[in-house]
Amino acid sequence: MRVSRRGLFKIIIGGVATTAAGVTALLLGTRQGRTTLESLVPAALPAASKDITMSLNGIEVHIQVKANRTLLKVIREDLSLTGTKPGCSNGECGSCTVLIDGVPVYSCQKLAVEMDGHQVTTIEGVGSGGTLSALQQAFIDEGAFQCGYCTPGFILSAIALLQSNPDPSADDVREGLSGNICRCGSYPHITNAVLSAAQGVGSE
Amino acid sequence: MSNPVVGTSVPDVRGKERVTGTAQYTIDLSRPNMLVGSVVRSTYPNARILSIDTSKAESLPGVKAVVTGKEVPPIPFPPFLSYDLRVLAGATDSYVRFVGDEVAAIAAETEEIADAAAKLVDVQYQPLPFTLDAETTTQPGAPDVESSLGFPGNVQSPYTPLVMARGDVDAGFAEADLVFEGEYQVPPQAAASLRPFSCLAEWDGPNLTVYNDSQVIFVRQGELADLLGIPTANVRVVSQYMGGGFGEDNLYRFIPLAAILAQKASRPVKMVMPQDYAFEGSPNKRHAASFTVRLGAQSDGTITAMDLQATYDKGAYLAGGASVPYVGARAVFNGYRVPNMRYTTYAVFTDNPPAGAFRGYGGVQSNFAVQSAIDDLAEKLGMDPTDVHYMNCIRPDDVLEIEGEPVDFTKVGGSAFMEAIEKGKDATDWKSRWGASGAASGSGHVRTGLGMALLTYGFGHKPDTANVSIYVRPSGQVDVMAGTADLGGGQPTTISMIVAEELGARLDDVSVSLGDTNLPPAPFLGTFGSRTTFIAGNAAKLAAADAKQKLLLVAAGMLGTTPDQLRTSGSQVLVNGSGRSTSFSEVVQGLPGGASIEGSGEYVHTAQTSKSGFQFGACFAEVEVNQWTGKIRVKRLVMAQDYGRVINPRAAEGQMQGAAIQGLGYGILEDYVVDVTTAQSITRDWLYYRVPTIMDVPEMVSIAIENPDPRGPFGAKGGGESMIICTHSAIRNAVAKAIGVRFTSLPITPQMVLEALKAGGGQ
Repeated sequence: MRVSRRGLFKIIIGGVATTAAGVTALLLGTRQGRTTLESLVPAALPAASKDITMSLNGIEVHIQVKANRTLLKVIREDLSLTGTKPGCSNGECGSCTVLIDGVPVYSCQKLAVEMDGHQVTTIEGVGSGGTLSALQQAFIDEGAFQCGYCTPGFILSAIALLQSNPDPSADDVREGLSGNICRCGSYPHITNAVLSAAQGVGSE
Repeated sequence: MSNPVVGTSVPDVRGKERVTGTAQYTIDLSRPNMLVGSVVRSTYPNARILSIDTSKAESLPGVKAVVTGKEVPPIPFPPFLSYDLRVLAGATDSYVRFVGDEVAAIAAETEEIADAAAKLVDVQYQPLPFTLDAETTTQPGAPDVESSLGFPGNVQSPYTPLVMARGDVDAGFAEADLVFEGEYQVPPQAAASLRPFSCLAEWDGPNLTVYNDSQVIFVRQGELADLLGIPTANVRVVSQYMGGGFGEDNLYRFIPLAAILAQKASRPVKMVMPQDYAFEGSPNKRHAASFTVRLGAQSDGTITAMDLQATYDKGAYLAGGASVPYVGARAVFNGYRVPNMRYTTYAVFTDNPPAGAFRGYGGVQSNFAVQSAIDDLAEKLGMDPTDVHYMNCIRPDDVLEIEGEPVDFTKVGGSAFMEAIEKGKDATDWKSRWGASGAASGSGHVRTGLGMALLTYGFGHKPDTANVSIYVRPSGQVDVMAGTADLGGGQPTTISMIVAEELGARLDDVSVSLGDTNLPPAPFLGTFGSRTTFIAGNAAKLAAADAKQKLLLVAAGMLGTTPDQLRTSGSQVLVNGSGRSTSFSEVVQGLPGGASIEGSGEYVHTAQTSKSGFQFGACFAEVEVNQWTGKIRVKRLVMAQDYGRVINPRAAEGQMQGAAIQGLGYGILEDYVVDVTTAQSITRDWLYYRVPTIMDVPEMVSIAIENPDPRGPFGAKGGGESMIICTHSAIRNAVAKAIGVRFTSLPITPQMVLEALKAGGGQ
């Protein structure tokens, strides 16, 4: 084969060019394994706990949370709401997006203790009483997902977008959803769904 | 037929679960008393394991089970997916072969404890020289990868070395006016699905149930039975919703490990792999490959000889994807009518993470070589590349020898290349934009270019069988049992539509149960290789026809007529020429004892070359290259693809777009980088391994061509992979047109563009 100088050259250049990754590696020791917020706290250290009160999907929740526990883990594991999906758990992919006081936030990047006194909305809080919201219906009608794993995160980002900009252009939609990754590449249909939901809401 | 279902855009039948977050992916499952697993992975690319001390890990409170290679079965995964991989490194020898090679596993009360225990496992290694370069790995003195597993010399066997040929290549070159030679390389590509890899294993006495996002539930069932030495009937595999997939779900150690740990601890074990496992674990990446292509052409553009040499980097194990070089060769022979062709290939072992199955399996790599080379040849000939493709591509009525067998293309739905080229040219206004000034335009530092590439691919390469059962219930509900997996390509919707159409049922009355080995296998081998619509769809259609026949027989008795006087529509049985009708529900309620009407269908798929599935299409790309920043923006993709018959247009469009977007990523964004000094992957998350975001998506025009394949359900072909085969090649050729630089490797990063321009630009 012909891996070639060019190939090797590129690999070496790649190594140099991504020293930022190397710095992360140094910070995390060996980079292999989980790099979640929790994992940065040695398991041997007893994490302090705190009682918090947050509004979750409109319901007041009192819960004792460990200081190193992410909102993502508390929602999924302690409160058993599994609609919020863990992806990279590193603030890169957007699949765990929830709304905090109406603002889309990666729940893997928020500690639950910070939620005291705040309003959190997850996908379980979208729509009401078994009725889909117009946006959820538009996602179905436009085929705006394939595997569907990233869909809850996209829907929450889109809700926030439409709240701040009820009549977005296609470019506005793309910018508003640029923090969410869909590996299936349903992006064109996602854009269609958000635009169609915006038109539906506008005409009501 | 009235109220046709096939050919209309139908929303995903499981859409509501997906948009409400109630769809339960494997990672969402839990059990009371469940343990959580963690895996210890090698930090060396090639080393001898001197010792593994698990005592500290085992004494950590909350740790319930620890296993090393010495405690797992010393046998390889079964041959369909692998030949050499054991459940852990060290099972039959004492070597690790890549950074990430699994050496031990732990089950503990919590993930935090399991991860802490993993860090306490003390593995002593004797590091050995390693090999990462596919070019030198077969040379004398290169570090050995697989001898101790029975594969010496770092050359993959079975499947390679391989020569696929037709005609006389030397004679073909002798007829040529011009011989073009080019070298091309493609990198690995990670599927990089967002959902962490996970499984849940639980034992009930001698019976094991494994939940896993799996495309291949029946293969996995057999694999677990073989590895654990228990009867297949004692293993159940469930895969309800899959987060991503794309082939990477092919072969994992963590699944048998979870089963072994669960058995040892007598508790259910859930294994959630860390995120970097997708980039540096046993999950499959696309093979990196390098090619030498020689083309002999006459001055009118007729290609007289095509000779390719290809080397694939298999990485450290023969874990999945053994037939990638073979499929790569077939993907070239499935494309051109050139009389003299030869594809010489082999795959080599290195200490890179294993390569294997990824959407477009085998087709993506050789497409880049051939589609780049033909574009480069066209430039040398001073011809429009679409003319060169048009002259040499397989024609609808060709009969060609492929693998020593004559293939009559009229019997497989014809070849749609010419139609795809014409439609692509129309949609890009190619004729007026190509021509004297070329397809490049723009002034100043931003240049625009137009390029194209053809795609061809086989579907259903392996022999397979699908069984589907249908029950028409007294309520009128139509239950379909089809053990396929819902990979996200709309599989349950497609099967529902085929059943509704054939049976004459209302689509809303049809529901599909899938993703469970307790169901009939449809297809047995799994949901991959664009085979579900074709293979499972055929079985579903046969089952629906069977149920319909029985339904009409019962209805005829009730209505005092004969079945040939009856037809079905909208879940009603109607008497021809009269206004009389009865519903499916009333017919079935007429059966004694609350029975249902049952239909079953079996479809046997042979992999004989002349009976293979063939996909055809083309992608036309328009790109903008910023010569100051080196950044490439894909502005527009026009995709023309032969679906045979489109069952569900919006789902088909979604597959086309999604595959093309992954191809775009491979072309210009997704740079899988291994640090050559440590053999560690540097690009081990979504920040550094850049998959396309919504901001990277161009305007996309999807053109479905419908040349029915007489063997497909309603003429349908498989098509879930097609556009990933050629999008990267089309983008490369568009960049060549824009700035005159004919890149020979991927991804074309801004850095590469700037370096090429600095070095003097185009040729």
